[in-house]
Amino acid sequence: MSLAVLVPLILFGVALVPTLSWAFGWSALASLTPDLARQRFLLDHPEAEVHEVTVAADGLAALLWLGSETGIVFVVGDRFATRKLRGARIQCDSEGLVVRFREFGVQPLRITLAPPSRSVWQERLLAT
Amino acid sequence: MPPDLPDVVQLAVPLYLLSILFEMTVGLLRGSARYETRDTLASLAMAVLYLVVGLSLGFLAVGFQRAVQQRFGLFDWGWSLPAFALCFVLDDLRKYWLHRTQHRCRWFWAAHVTHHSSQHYNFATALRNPPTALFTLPFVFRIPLLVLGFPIEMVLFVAGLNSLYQFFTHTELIGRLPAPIEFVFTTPSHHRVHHATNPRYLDANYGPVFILWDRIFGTFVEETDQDACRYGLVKNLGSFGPLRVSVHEWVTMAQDALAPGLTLGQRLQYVFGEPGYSHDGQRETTAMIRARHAAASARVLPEP
Repeated sequence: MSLAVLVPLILFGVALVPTLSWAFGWSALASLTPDLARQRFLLDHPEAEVHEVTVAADGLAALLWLGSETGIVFVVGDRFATRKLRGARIQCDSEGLVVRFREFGVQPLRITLAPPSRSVWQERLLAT
Repeated sequence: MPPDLPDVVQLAVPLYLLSILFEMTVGLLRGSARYETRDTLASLAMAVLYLVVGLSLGFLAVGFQRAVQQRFGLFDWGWSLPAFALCFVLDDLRKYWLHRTQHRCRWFWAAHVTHHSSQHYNFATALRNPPTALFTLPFVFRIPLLVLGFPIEMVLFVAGLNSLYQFFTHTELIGRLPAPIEFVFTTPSHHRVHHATNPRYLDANYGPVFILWDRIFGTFVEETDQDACRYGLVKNLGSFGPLRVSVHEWVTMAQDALAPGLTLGQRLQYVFGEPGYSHDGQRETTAMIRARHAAASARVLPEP
């Protein structure tokens, strides 16, 4: 197949498939609840003991207190990813937290927290 | 004189597109979406980048392989059908070992991880090819075939057929096939296991066309209804960005290997050792995860 045919065909496919996926409603983000966050974290970290779960105001992330360290569950499209926050850089601001992981595979996360839990988590994360 | 063999993968592009559209339609009709827009876009972006790198630099790899075959090729196989068949089977064996190495050696995993980085399992995932694969020099695994004397045109043709077959194993539409087929060939069921992160499924079913290789070399694991496949990585990515998807493991590997205070051996382990290796035991290899899972499962089993 010549490039003159191959290239337009590929470009057509790359444009068509995601457009259809969007039109079919398959772009909606997942949303976390405390129970879902706990379950999802334990799936990846079965040895962990989750003491407390706080879901971000937008439902896109949840912080989990594990006793001596913090875990996180965050939304990736319609699925989730989990991490322990060991080694991540945490920045506190007026809305909550910004988490920057050492690994390149996770983009920086903004976690919007309501005022009561914001100060609790900010203090906890700065202490650990 | 070699026959005029087509580039199977390029010819298959319309078939790939139609298959994706068919799978999406079935997902829509059944109300069970198997696609996510950003994930699909990331997969297709990887496919395009992979193609661009291949078209730009692939001639270097082909030139090297042609030179090896011409300089060291031992036998003249001709262009008969049995020669093609033998080349296909041996190429599949070659691909089994390459694939196994891609999972057991971080240098190769750094590229191959891209293909496993989707949490979805569909025909678009099949196209999520690693743009950095060529830089790991995977074609060195073809040297035995070339030394045996199979012409590079034949080797590339059968490899194309092999890739075409593999595409169709990336689907949840097909359950289990009849037992004789499941025994000999890699099926969607076998390859779902390969893409799963469930501890008992890790590092299994590498066979591209023949699952027999896994049965022979002890890496076969059966899919079970009790342990539904969860796809992706042990530590899933937190981004759909093409750059992060394609190079994240290279960056992390470089960070690990260049960290201060390590011995040369530890640095080499970070590059060429098993994925999950860490000098301080902070991470787990897949063997460690499987062992931990097996121990935990044994604890919850009832007393006989």
